[in-house]
Amino acid sequence: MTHLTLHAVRLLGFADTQSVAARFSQDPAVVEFQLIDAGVNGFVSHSTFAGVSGWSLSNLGRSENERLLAEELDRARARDAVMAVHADFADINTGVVEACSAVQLQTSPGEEAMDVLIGALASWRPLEAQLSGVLPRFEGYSQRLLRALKLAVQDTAWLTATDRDSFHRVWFELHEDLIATLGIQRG
Amino acid sequence: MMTILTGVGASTGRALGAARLIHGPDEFGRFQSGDVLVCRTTDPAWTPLFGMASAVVTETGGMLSHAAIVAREFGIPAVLGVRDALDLLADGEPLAIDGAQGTVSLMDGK
Repeated sequence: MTHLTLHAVRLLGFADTQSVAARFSQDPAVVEFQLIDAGVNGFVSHSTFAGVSGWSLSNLGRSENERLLAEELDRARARDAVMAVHADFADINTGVVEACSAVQLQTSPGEEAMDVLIGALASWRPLEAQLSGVLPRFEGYSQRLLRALKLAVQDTAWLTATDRDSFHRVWFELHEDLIATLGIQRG
Repeated sequence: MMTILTGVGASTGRALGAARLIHGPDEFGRFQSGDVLVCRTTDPAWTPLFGMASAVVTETGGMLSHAAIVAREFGIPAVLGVRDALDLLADGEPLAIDGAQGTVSLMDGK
């Protein structure tokens, strides 16, 4: 299903075939074929940055991704539900970004930031359940956020690092997922 | 050196580099290691560029934005919320970025 393959590239930003396939538990061989096909259509390109190779969406691919997501949203009659969840997410997001910044800048004790992020996850979980009821592909964020928080108890890099599935990386991906699904441009 | 633009200093540090105006993923291939990334906004697709950039200048965002968090992780200066940066800067211009002061300066006395 090209829809999920393109969307996986959008969410991951820049990723190899294995990672794109793993994002929605697809067969890597099928996904490789779809990515090559998408490349022929100008939707994705394969490149190397800083010694790492991967796929990324072109501007055309981004438009196609949003067209397919809009179709999906209409088919599922889920626009109102996603808009409501996005509004609640935006409120939680402010606290998450503040807490992540506080951890990096060491402007408040780490425990306080952890408390905020634990609270954010508690607030997000029912929203994910609500969203997954209409769009099952939203399942999994809570689990990944929880894993990051547990690992952060031993190593706070799991809160904000970019080289692993840290709390902020997962949260940033979730934010991208919501705005891509609604076709909103980042402000 | 003359300060030509100001914004929010969202990630501290100073860096020199050529301005690279990037309007979207189709232009990522033009980006060279050590360039100053100048763009409107960023999303997860842009993270690899942060790993190559000497500094980041965006038209949107601020102290509390995803771009600020990612720039701090890479330890590079970031000046965010610089209005019309893509119109006011020229591709290839030598820049000096101060992420504490939130300034974008032009090198070689222009």
